[in-house]
Amino acid sequence: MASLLVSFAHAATSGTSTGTATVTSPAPTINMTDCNLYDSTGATVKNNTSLDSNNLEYWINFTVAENNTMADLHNVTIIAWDNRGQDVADADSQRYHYTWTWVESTDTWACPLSASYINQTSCLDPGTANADESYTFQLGFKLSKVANYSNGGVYDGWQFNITAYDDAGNVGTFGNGTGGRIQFGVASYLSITITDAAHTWEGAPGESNKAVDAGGDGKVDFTVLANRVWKAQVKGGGDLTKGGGGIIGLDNVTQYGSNSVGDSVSLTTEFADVTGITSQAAPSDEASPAEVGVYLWLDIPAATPSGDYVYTLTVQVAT
Amino acid sequence: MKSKAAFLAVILVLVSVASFGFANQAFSENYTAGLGISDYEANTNVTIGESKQFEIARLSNEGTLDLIVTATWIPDFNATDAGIEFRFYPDQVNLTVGSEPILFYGDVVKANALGTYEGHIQFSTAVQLPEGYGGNPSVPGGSAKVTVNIVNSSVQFGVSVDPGILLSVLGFGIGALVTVVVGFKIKNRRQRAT
Repeated sequence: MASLLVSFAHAATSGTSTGTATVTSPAPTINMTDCNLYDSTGATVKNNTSLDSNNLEYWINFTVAENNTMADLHNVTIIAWDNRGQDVADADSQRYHYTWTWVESTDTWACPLSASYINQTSCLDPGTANADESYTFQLGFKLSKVANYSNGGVYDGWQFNITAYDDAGNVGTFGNGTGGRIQFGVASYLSITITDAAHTWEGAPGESNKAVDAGGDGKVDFTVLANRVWKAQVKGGGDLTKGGGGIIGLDNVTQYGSNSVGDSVSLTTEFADVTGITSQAAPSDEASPAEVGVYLWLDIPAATPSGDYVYTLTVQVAT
Repeated sequence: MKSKAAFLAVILVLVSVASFGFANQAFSENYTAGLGISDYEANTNVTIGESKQFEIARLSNEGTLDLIVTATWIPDFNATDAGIEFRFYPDQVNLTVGSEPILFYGDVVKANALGTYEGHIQFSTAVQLPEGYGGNPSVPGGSAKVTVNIVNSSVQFGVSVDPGILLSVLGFGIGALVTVVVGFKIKNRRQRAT
């Protein structure tokens, strides 16, 4: 019995146990307190303000922490979208949704929508195989001129979502509803380019409804870029006058949004809507502005002295 | 024959009676006049008695012709009252082709009376048509909204108090205090008398 016990004791002391300790890769994190939107000087925080979509650069800074060092990051994705009816997962568009990415393996930044909406020289990143455990990134970006307008004074129409992915597929996210977010609005942008920068009539006294000569189509053409619903308005600077005397009253000039002189109304020195060019939707692409025109006609009163009569037509885009 | 020539001459004069510019030359080149306006719809609070500068709009030339832009303040609601001394700058600029956009600022020189002052800056433009490019100019315009709220300094605590109301409340409080003190003294005298 005693020898049996000894034998058991020997068996216990000579046994082996093998095993491994697996340490999982922690997900990267994004420090929300270090996340801010700035102007392109970095001096002014622009969180909760309206951004200017007319070719003005802004920066967003954020710090990513990764216990396995920055070398373990796969990519960082920044999304800005209009959360009024749009979703973070929606497709990119100039009006509502932008994506920017940085890829660790190639150390490259990109904006799939257009290179126009990223300023590579303003972007900051850790580069490839960086051994730091945290880094403050910076994206320099612009919005399209047609990026959807937010109501004046309400700056929560748009927001950012930032996601860091590591090589193991772990994800750290900031901004999608929980744990705080950065919001901003987009200021109103309206632009008009008058293609026919001058227009003429030629006729005799007593003639009426003379169509304008402005490129040969009877209307003054213009293009419009806008980030909100818009309408066209016109006015005259005053009566048509001739050097050395002679006046044709401004009310002899009539305007309409289509080729229908019977519906046209007289110009005045106050802006008036152009019927037919109201409640126009914002273009979806800043490279494809809306193309419209205002038809003009002139009545030449009888006994009008001969000569060149001049006035100024002003066309504006309003809301 | 003589009368026929005279008749033709009269006809030619009539045709040119009301000609505007130089139709045959006007459109040989494609010039454009363009204006872009980022309207910041400025809505700012100014404490009574103080001044403040703020951004109104940013204008850009979107055409191929230089623009002279003139800005005019159009009050929508009692902005000409003595309650506010408001100006803006610049009031006229040359917005040349390819130049950087230009910022327009509002400047509340002095806020004198509580209230909301609304209006807009109207931007008018003029172009210099190139030589040989005649006719009546067609120019772009636009506007930017401005709202100035003149508030009491107490607005920072979330409550705006009109000075008149404040004086009334203080007056009522002092009156109530005097009444209580006098009443207390009269009561004491009565107690001592008994």
